[in-house]
Amino acid sequence: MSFYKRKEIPILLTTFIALVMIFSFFFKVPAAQDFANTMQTWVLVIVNFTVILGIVMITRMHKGRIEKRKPGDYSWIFSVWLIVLVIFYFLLGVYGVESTRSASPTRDPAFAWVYNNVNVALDSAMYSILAFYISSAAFRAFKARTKEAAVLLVSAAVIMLYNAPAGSVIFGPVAPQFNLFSEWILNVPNMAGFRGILIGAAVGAISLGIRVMTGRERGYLGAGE
Amino acid sequence: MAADLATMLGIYAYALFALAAYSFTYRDNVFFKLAEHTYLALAIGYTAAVGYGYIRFTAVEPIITGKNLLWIIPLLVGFLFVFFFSKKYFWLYRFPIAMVTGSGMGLAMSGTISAQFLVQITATIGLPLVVVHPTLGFQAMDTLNNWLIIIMVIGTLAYFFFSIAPETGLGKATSKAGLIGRWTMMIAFGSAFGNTVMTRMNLFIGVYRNLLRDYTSFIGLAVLILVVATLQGRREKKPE
Amino acid sequence: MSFWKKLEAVDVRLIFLVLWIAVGIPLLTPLYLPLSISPDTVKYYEAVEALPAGSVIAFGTDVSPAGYGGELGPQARATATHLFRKPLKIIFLSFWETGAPLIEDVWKNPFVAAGMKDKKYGVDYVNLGWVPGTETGMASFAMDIWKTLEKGDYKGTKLADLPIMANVKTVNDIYLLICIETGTPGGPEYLRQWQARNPRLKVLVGSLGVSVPANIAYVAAGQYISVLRGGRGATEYQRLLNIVTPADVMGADAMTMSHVVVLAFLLLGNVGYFVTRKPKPAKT
Repeated sequence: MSFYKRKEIPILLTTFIALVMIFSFFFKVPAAQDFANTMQTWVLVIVNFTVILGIVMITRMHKGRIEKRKPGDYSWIFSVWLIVLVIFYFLLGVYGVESTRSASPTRDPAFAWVYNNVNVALDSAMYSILAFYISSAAFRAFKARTKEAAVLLVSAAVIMLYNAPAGSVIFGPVAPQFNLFSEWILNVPNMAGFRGILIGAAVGAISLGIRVMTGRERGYLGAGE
Repeated sequence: MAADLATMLGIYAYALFALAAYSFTYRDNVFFKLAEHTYLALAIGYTAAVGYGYIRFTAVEPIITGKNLLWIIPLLVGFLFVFFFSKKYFWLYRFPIAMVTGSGMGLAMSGTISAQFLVQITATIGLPLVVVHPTLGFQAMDTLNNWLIIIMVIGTLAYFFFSIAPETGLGKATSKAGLIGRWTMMIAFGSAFGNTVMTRMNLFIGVYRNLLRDYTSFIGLAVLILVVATLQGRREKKPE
Repeated sequence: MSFWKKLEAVDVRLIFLVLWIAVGIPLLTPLYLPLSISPDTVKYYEAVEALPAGSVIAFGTDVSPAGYGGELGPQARATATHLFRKPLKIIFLSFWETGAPLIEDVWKNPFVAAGMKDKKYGVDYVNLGWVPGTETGMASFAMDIWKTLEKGDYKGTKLADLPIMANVKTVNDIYLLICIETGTPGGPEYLRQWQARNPRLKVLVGSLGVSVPANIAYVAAGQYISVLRGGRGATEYQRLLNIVTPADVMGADAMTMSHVVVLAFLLLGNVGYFVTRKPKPAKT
């Protein structure tokens, strides 16, 4: 294989740029900082091109569903709807950008209408469906089968009562003590647990970075030599 | 007049798509499929349109006006992403991904070392082991809390130590400390679950409140979706 | 079949219906349930109240539409109301492309709009819109704001034509960052890219409830001054600012009812489990 096609060149590029970023962070050398800043503003433009990949992949997948449709199965209609809507909404956004001479397509009233009344509705509803499944899981799945599970459930119940605006009312005269206890749970054991997790995650992130820079981690470059 | 119509249509569109999404809790149905596909399509279309706007005014405009022709370089590098779909020229796709990964990795590593690693460790080891207030004297509760925090943080970190052989003395000590970490994390995850309930319920309350803006759209569309979903369910259950 | 076994086998859609009804009742009529104010919200309020006149505030609405509709919208509107009551320089921006359009929605709130009446766009406040690139974008912004925002503000006005931005070139020129965050990029990314470059930068965070447990570690380490805890924090902040509407009261009551329902299900489920479980066989 030709040398320029091998993975070593992009790995060297990744390592060089990462080292420049790290160097410019810790050392105030104007030339390095200018180069790092230029690289960052270029990457902001480059990263926006990844949406092309997303559009092509989703179109291919749904085109496949349309081509493989069977008689009596009408789910391919939704695939047509999806492809048409992606193209329509993107072109509406392009029109919004060009007509308002602004980088934000939501300056256009039609684009903003679709965003505010459809995007927002769907985004909110899809994420909030979990509220129903939490309720059913609370009834069916969250059982104190072990001591650890019991501790987890008690902690959850205390915090739920604390978070409910009027939750501590049921404790009557000892409501202030209940609030203090809840705050203790959040500020001592909860904080200690998450601090340990944060430190562990930071160690993991640093070691992953070193693995990428030394070429041991190559998954991000895709398959092949 | 046009504004009123747009507002009314907006209320009905909001109600239709929100209820269509929620209809999954009743049963899978055509309205939910519509909501699913619409959500995906609009999310992609929105991201693409916003990305177009940024590229247009950040990189393309300075090239057109002649202010800064160097922007041609990131535009060309960005286009290399399309070679992801080519078997022969796939290697070109690796250059933009290398630049994005290198930049992100370098920034994340340098920031993580100070913000998440050093600061959190110094905040733990910097806790006073004996808390004495200048006027109120020895503070028993604060002193106890500090000791608990230090022990629990060390215990949580010890729980994730897998590289020490458990048969050795150090290994046994790490296992015992890890036990403290396990109980600490049970309390922490319980509190995380309690807070998750608040978030999800507030999301639901936000949508519900918007649905109640107009009872006609809410009740009318809810009945329509329920009827269609029930009929679809009965049709699917009928033997061939 | 015993009562508990029948209860366990109940159709899950009945559980969903109970939730719809329990949350719907307070949304139709306010119950005016009581509410206490937590120390974190008081700290958040006092931090904004103590801001020196003329301070440059970066207000990041790094939110998704779902997060904004639930807990973060009330937080953002209450914070903006408080900020506009004071003589400050406020820079609105978002590192989420979904958060940028919501900045204008914040401005439409009656309490926020009242505070904006005697403020001038471009002089007292500005909307820089979406800054792409997540953490890379944050780093680029921190190092050189003008170079990162060649496109100008959300309308396309160049930064040179906005007097508020005249002396704001890097993160070192920002006094306080208020980040209303849904997730990544959010508070921790700001700490890594902004506060690590400007250790004097003060940070206040409004977050979803789900992020609160992790954010408390940053408050305890002194990296954040304080954090608004989800919907509960928003409700408390509105009380402190005296901007509570009947809709907010209904929302708070609905929050209480929803938590009571989940707790009731948790209790019922566990009582049923303990009543119906088979005793452990004796060890031989």
